[in-house]
Amino acid sequence: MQVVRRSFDAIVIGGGIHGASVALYLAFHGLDVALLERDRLGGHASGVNAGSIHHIPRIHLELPLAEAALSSWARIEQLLEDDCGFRQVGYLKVIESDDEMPDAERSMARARRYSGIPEILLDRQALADLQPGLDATAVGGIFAPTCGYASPARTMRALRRRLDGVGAVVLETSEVRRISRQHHTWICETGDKNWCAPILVNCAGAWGVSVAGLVGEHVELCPVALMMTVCGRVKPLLNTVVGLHGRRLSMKQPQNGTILIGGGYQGDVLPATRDTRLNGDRLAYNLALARKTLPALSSAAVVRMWAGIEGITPDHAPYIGSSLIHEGLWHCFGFSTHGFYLGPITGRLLAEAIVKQEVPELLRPFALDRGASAAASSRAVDGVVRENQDEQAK
Amino acid sequence: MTRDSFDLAIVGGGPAGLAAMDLADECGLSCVLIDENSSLGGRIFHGIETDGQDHLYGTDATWARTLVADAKHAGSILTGRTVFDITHHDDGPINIHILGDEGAETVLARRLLIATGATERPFAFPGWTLPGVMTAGGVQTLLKGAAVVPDGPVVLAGSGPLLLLVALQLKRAGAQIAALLDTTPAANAMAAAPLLASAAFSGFAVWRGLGLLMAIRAQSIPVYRGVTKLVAHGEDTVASVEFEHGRGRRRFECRLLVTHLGILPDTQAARLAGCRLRWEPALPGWVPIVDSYGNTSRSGIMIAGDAAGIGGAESARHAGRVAATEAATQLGAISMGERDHRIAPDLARLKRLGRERAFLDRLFLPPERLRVPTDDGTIVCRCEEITAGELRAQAAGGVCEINQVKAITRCGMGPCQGRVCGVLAADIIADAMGAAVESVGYLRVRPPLKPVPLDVLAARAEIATPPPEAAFLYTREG
Repeated sequence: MQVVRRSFDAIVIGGGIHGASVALYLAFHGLDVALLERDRLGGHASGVNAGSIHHIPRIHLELPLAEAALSSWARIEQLLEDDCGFRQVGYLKVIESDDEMPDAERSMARARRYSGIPEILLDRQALADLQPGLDATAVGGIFAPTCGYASPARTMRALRRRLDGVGAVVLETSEVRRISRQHHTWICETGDKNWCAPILVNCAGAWGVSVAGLVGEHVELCPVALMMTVCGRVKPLLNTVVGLHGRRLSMKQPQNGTILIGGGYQGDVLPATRDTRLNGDRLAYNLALARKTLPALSSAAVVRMWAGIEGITPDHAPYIGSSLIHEGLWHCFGFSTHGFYLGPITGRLLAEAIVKQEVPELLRPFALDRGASAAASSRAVDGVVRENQDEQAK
Repeated sequence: MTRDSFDLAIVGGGPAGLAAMDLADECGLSCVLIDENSSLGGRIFHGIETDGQDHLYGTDATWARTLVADAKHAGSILTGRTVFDITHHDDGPINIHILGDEGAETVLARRLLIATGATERPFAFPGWTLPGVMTAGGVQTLLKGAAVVPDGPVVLAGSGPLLLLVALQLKRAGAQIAALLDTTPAANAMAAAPLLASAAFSGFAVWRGLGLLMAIRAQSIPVYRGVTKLVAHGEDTVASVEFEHGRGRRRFECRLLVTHLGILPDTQAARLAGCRLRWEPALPGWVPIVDSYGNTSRSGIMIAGDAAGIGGAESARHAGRVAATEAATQLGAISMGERDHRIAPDLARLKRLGRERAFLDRLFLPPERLRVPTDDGTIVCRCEEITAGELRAQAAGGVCEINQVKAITRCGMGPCQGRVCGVLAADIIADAMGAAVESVGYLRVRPPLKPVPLDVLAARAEIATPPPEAAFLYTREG
């Protein structure tokens, strides 16, 4: 067996949007970087998600980072030399009934308290003006004009081009099977090759736990398969990204006229093949909710449904920060379905943390030792977790 | 709505599916046959139950009619239903999700036989997407189903037995045929010659082919051999076709241009069900991996007939019988000994027919220059309007796996899910990379197999209640 040794300043494991972004920013800082990806760059959640660029509904911990993320997308073309299909069409959360109004106001107050992300409360008329064709029983909405959507496939492609441009080494179909350490140097084994660097960044997404496991670090994460539906082209129906305040839904209509429907409904993960299986009941619920919200969708034809694999953490906040047991090891995964839009900003801040050996303020809430509260709420549903954290914040 | 559970569900009511139905019933299995057409027979025997058009099916009409009649007594027939998804949960039954006039239903079955037949190889050249350019299979379906005869001059272009047959059928139906442009390279006949003797003594295909050629001559259809560089011209619809023949370029006016470049197994359902495929250089194309009984890489899922590899109607009938018998054995209805006894004649016949097929495959092997449109402006993916040039640009940029190309260009992402363009795109990328087509891979198929109204999929949800359990949940078990 031929053993090739390659030395770098940093190795990033995982070619999703986070791995690619942090590798790019590390390269900007002048580091010699290798990115090791088991399958294909953007082959999982990063490349096949719905491309939402919005902060709602996010746990409050993430709001300041979300604000920075929104500004980073507004400048994405300067970074990646491609607009990545980013369209700042805003994000509308429809309020279905008057009962939801108090909670909607609380949610806006929370956004104001933890961030400067602009949100506007719309009454019935303003809602109808902004987005015609909505369910007539809707009573209002929360509109965030700085949000929007981007094209995941195009973003990953742009990242790839930039990585090549700055001379980062990108290796696809390179699964890291073993990680060892010698004199402050990490050695990652992929098949018959060894890759060495003093800095190792784990951006393995849903498989971040396995990578952490290779160095003996235990982290809690649950892989989930998030389902998406796309409808064939229809006449322009959506002016903005449309969701609901009280229930999970997200719909957008890119410029090609297709309609993407999601919202975080889970299929099944098939671990052995890294494949997914759709759940018909939950998809039906997702689609029925979409149709209720925008009745014109009734006549749309579903042309494709799929799921992408992501990792959810017990408190639904990502793990971003240094390892609790090893020096020179950083983790950045578990984005709990909010990963795509946080990619560019997290990559920039984490690279800064690694180079300066100091974690920026915005990333501190996501340290791996963020406390027992994470474990305590591990079985809670998203909404419940959000409320718990608000209690603690008060 | 969920229907009763069956021992065997068969998708496709052509010769393979019909024969399987009859035999499964004989073995005591409960079966259901699902077909998207309103009548049985598949594409090859489309309209077989209509009186007065036996001439369209030749000598096969008699046994085909018997096959349909027998199948009708052998179990439930669900015609006019499209399969849009196939799901299989561990050891449970296979769920076949179908769509008909009454909405969506789910058929449960212990075994699934995919008998979806063949699809035509796409033949792309400048102008092939113009209205008035149709595939031979499409024209034949119109002849058989609606007895539609085109008015105005017709030109046929391409290669393969079906093109010749359709030329003859059109002529007999009263169409005005301006020319038959045969693109089969002269070298093919030389290469196939050594296989001729074995094929001629194995079945009737060679003799039928000769008969076809003689009939075309007798009908005085002008034939141009070794044709290359086809271009269809026209504004809103095809008006003329230009081509190279010998040393010069020629042009014919036409209202209808019929194209054909051979057939390939329809693997959409097999891929959706997760069956693995292999590259078959004789076609060349992807075919599902099946053993001699029709078992695929997915337990419980079987494939027979042209969907498993091109063999023709008679082969399909025998393969359908073999697969049904195998299913009956797996389900304990008959013993292995009984299976072997029953299918011995079918297997022997399949072997002889295989020799015939080898000859035909070699004779009509489409050369690369016909499979790959040279003009960069030629549309490849009709749904998303992606050109050959856009695909070549990806290949030049080093993107060489077809699903990656799909993600980047959207080629194959439209409502047809790459049914038409998948094969073309792979050929173009492989050609541009100078790589083997098998290294480019094949498109993943996502449900639904065919577009389904959102209303239908949403129908079963009750949104007045909270979402189904664990719609969005962190669970430790994962």
